[in-house]
Amino acid sequence: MDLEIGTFPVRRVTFGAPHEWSGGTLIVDPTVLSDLVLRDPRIRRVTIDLVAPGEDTRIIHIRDVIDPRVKVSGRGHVYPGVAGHPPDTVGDGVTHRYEGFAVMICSEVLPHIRRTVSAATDSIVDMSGPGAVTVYSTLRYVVLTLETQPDLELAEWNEALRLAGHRVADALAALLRGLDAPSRQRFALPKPETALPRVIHVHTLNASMVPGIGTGIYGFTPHALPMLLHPNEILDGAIAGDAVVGYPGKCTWLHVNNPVLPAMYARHGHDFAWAGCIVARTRWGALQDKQLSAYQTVKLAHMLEAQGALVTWNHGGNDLIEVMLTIQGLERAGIKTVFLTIESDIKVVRMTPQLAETGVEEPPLLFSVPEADAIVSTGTLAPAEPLPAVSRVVGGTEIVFDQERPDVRVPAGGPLDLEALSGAYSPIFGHFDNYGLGAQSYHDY
Amino acid sequence: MAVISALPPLAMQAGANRVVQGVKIEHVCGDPSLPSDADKALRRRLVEQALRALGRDVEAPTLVDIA
Repeated sequence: MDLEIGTFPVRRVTFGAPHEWSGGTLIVDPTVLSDLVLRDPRIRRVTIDLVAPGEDTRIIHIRDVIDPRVKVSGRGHVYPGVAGHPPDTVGDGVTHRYEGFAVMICSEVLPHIRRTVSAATDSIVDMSGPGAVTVYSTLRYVVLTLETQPDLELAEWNEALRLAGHRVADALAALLRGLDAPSRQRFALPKPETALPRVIHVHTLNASMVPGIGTGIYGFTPHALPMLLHPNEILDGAIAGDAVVGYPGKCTWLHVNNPVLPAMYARHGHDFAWAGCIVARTRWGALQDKQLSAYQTVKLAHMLEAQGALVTWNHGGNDLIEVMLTIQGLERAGIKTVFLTIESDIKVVRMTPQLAETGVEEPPLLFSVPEADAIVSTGTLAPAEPLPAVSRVVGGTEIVFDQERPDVRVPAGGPLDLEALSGAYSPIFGHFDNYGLGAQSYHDY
Repeated sequence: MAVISALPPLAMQAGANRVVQGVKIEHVCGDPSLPSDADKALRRRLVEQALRALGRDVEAPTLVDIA
């Protein structure tokens, strides 16, 4: 596979007509975008806001973040298999994208869905201040705040929100179709000229225990046995988030901007030969299924003659069992592993220098094996300060921090002491930063 | 103490003495997809296994396999 990505930087976004990208300025027409979204009768109302980094703004009820991309040549459609896009294999040809800009979907979770899916938590993105620790505080957004029909069932609600987001992203990405990209980069995995160790990326990805939602591979969301992806497929959106399980920081934007991929491309042919990405789904309900998934991942890595593996994950909790069983199996098969992970589970714990030094009160990794002896940390879940009040809130007005107490609603614009307020999960969107995009490490090496 | 766990490796790492393999995370001690008689029999078998496990002397966290 051979993919060229043309990048169009966005330094300013304004409302206007018609839509246009020119010299770093993106003009968006809110009337056109509203009409596009309201074509779906499941959406009752949409509000469109522009948000930029550094503003005294808090975005709430984030359901997904989409990086607008368009295939200029080559087979298929970016983000295949979701929002009506065909499931053709992607990863070849030319794709155009913006840099520093995304479409964000916000919608308060419907009460009956909040009751059935605990992971449909409320989340926040602060664009400045002590809460602005994730990569999502650094992007410019067109934010769609959506009000759906109130009686939509879970899968329908997810589809409606996601379709709205992708329709807008596709419309804005289409502006780049005929333009010359200011910068281009080629992605391919040519056979190295010299013998180099073969390395696999074991890309474990959570599948929701609730049917019909969750991170999808070409839109396919259920638990499934491991499969092999070319990283180019991922750059073209073969892995996409949903609009329900935003916790603990899963979204569509993340997968096409996963820093693991460019880091691995940069070393392919120099330090190692990259054998591709084994996608293994996590959060199987039965131990035997966790074992099977781990063992089949190891088998695939072995058949691909891997000598080393970078293991990543994108969730928390019991998913770590199959991740650790995979690491154990790989090591026992003679495949050296490095595990990339955030250092704690998902609860908010305030960081102090003493805590950073000793880690004594930090929730540890839920499960580990002795073979996991090379782990790279991407940081912790630790906002240094309570979050101050903000002058502008986008996406809604109130937040429920603890899913077990949905009647406790907090005004979103006020000061927020996350450690005191939050329940099981950190509400900072993207806080569970398993790929190291944010600024959450206490000490960078 | 005996624990019926969907994830024995986790229970054992947490220091549970006697661990009996449960069904799965969503329903540790039973299986609602079975006809109710079969589900009831399964539940009874798991509880009886756990009770028998209590009679077993162990030195360290142990997966007690009692058919």
